[in-house]
Parts: sequence; structure tokens; C-alpha cells
Amino acid sequence: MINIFLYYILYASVVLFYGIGINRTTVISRTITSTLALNIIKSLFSIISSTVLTWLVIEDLLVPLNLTELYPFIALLIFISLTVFIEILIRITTEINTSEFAISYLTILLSLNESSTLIDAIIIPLCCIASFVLILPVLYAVRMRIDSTRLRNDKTKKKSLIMISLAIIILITAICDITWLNPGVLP
Amino acid sequence: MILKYILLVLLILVLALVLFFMFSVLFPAMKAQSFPVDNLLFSDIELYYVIPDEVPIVKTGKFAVVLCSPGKKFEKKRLYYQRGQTCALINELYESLNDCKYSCIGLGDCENSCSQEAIIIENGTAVITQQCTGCGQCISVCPKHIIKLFSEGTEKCTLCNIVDNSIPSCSDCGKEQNIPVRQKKGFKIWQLCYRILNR
Repeated sequence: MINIFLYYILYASVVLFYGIGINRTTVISRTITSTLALNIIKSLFSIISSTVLTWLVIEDLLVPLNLTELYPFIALLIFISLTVFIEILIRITTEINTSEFAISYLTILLSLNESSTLIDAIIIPLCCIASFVLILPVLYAVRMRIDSTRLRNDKTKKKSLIMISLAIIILITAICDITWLNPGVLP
Repeated sequence: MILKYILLVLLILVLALVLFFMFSVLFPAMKAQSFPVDNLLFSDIELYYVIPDEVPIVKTGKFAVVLCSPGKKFEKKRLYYQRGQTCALINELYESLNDCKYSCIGLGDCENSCSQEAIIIENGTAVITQQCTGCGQCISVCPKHIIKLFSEGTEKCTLCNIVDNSIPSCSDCGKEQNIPVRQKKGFKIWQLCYRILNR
């Protein structure tokens, strides 16, 4: 289990390696607000429940019927139903807007594609969201560093500098030897 | 096997019914009780980046008319339509594709400049549709200077811009005609797609 955890948090981070939510992280890292926690909890709940439900449908219905190509559609239907329902509950109780589609849906597809057991289907989205959350303080620090060394009104090259910083982080994680994460290597 | 097919269809039906219930019954009911139920699926950032804003329509009380008849016919044609050329280039090099040097070249410089996408090309001639707001962006783009603004309600005018004594082989030369009114066809979903692609 630790190998999956390390792999999806560091070396195959959902933001750095797959590029899911790379735009969103750069936007959110500007101002990390208190509603972010609610956003993450909601995403976590909707993603994991959708992944598990879709995984069960795939295993029990689509695979026996040889209709596995339908899995993105089923995942979409389940995800929309769940996320909208949770969003309504949040809006009614707290009136905070936590709606989000692209990152959650792509994470579900990634988890479904890369999981081989039901436990994997729970751990992978968990790690994906953890990697998304972990990159935020790093990007925030990079942003603050860029701000402190440059003129206040010079906004022209800020995005480029953030993207270059991200590229360097990706390079740092990509050069590591991760063959030891393969369970077959250790024995 | 058949049972599994039935189960799958039932699952899809149930999910579709749940979505239908939420989007057509629950949300309107919540809206009626002033709950904030806008954008439940997409965040503001996603909507802002994916779907660009619609160009605001500001009516000026005028509309543009191309002073060249779309129903014209020429006995002689100097050049044939060359794909990829622009009206400005043809005007600079050959003056006109037709026998008349005041006629519309019809390669769509005005069509490309129109933010409302209100210009269509018909029979090698630009025609303004009802979507025109009279903003006048196309006037400066036309190398022939044959687009003019008219007040709303004008029905007839001379769809010809000849200012000298030349006599071209145009069938509609110098004739006063009804201003062509065209309804641009198109579905809103395609307009949205084009907005996204042209972003």
C-alpha cells in the first residue's frame, strides 16, 4: 500500500505528472481561503464514492457484458448525481459554493483506469487529492518568492515564472529512481 | 446475462431519472425559495475559462447595407475566386474580380471583422443579416468603401456604388432595390461552439 501512496503523491502526482488541475492550483494558490477545506472534503467524498460505485458497476455489470467502453458514461452519471446532491446539501447548510467538475471527473477516470482492486479504487483518489493539496503550499511559497523579488506592478512574467517553477519541480520528481516501488523488485 | 443487461439499463434509467428530477423539479423549487442553486456542477473558474463571455449587443438604431446587389450577374468575369485571398489584397492587386471596379469582392474581410457574425457571403457578395447592430466595424475594413449605415426602417436604396460614368456588364447596375433582409440560420449550441473555438 505504501508504494501506491508514494507513487501517486510524489512521482505520479495528479497535478505534476497528469496535469489534472494545473490551472486550478495556480489560481487557488494565490489566496488560500478557509473554504478550501470544505472544497477538499466535498471533492474527497464525491470522488471516492463515485469511484467505488462505478468500480462496482464495472465489475458486476460491464465486464460480464463486454461493455467496458461505457465506463466513462456510467462514471459521469454517477458522479453528477452524487456531486450535485452533496453540493445542494452544502449550499443549503453553509451557502458556500464548492462546485467543481473537471478535476474530480478526471481523477475518477484516472482511478478507475489504474486500479486493479476495490482497495486501489479508494486509495488512488485519496492520494490524488492529497497530491493536489500538497502542491498548494509549494506553489504558494513560489508565488510569494516571486512577489518578494519583483516589482509590485510588473505582472507580465509572473505566470511564466510559476510555470517554470512547476517544470523544475516536475523534473526533480521525475529524475528519481522509482523502480523500487514496483512490488516485484523488493523480493 | 439478460438479467445483467436489464440491470444495466435500469441503473442508467434510475440515474437519468435522478438527474432529471434534480435539474427540472428540485432546482426550480429551491430557486423559488431563494436558495442559491446556480452553477451546481461547474465552478466559476471553469465557466470563466471554458465558456467565454458573449459579445454584448448594443443596438444603435442603424444597420449596415452593402451597396452591391447580391442578385447581380456579370456577362464578363475577370478573375475567379481564389481561396485564401482577402478583399484588401485583391483590391490592391487587381482592383476587382468582376467587370465592375466598384462591386463587392466577396472574399469576406467584412465577415471576419464582424463581432456579431452578422455578415454572410451570397453569390460572391457580402449581405448583412438581421443580427447587425449597426456598430460600423465593417465599414472601415471594406477596401471598396461600399458599406454604409442606414437608419432602421429604410426599405429601399440603390444597391450600387458607381460614382463615375463607367458602364459595367452588371445586371443590377444603378438600380434602386429593396434592401435584402436575411435571417442568419444557426443553432445556439453551434454559436457557443464557435465562440469556444474562436477564443
